[in-house]
Amino acid sequence: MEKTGIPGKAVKRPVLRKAMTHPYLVLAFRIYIGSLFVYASMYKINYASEFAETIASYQLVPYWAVNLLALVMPWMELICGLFLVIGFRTKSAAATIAGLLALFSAAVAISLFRDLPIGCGCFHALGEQMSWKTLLRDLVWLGMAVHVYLFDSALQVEKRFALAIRDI
Amino acid sequence: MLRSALIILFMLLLGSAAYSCGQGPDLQGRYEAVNPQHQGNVVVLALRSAGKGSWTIEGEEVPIRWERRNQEIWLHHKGGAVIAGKLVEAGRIDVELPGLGRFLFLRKQ
Repeated sequence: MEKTGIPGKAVKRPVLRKAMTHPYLVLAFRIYIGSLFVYASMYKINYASEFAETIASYQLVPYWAVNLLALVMPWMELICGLFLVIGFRTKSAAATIAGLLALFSAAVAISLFRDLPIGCGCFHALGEQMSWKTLLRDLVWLGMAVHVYLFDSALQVEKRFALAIRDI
Repeated sequence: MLRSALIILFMLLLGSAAYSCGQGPDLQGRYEAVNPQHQGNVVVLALRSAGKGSWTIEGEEVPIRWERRNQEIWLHHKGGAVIAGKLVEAGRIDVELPGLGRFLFLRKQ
């Protein structure tokens, strides 16, 4: 029950909404998405040239941007993933990851419509063949990232630091 | 809370260390296979420590990096190519190259 400010009146929050916005559920999503991006970035950082080949195989990016993206994107994934896991600047990290996932989903959808026989390259260069399941999975992760952006509140390191600074 | 964040960070670092140590020393060595396109021509695959190695074909040596992934070995060329070979049994690696055929590498050293 939530107080409305009017004496004697209270509003019932729907149970599903309450469960979906529970801090621990959001925290679980946050750690899951963060770890996933840290894991995904490792191979790409280690083998940047293979990731460049993967980006080129989508035939969506101009040739001059392929190497730049192959170098920048994995580090973005790593930094944002780490921020989500440790709970630092989670809104910014979740927004960036949601943006990346929206980009990946669009790229996968376009490639599926064009019937390109390529792998997804999401985690490894020799990963699974792209399918509608890949797109669905990316959209679920996008939903989780947006959820984290909207409702994250638990275990945030910067809040802790802010309190400590205020105490000093 | 800070402590739990540090623990998570430490576990992540541990995980990444475990990930980078994927290459088992048991695979290191010199392997040879017969070139299916030119019988009598030997192709040499050298797997050295720290995931380094080389692929020698017709006198030309190409540096590679390698890593073990379950029952597969992945050979990475710095140009962006990657080949997966099957670890058939101890000392045998089966590599299928599109357009070139099947290379069955046998351990020599």
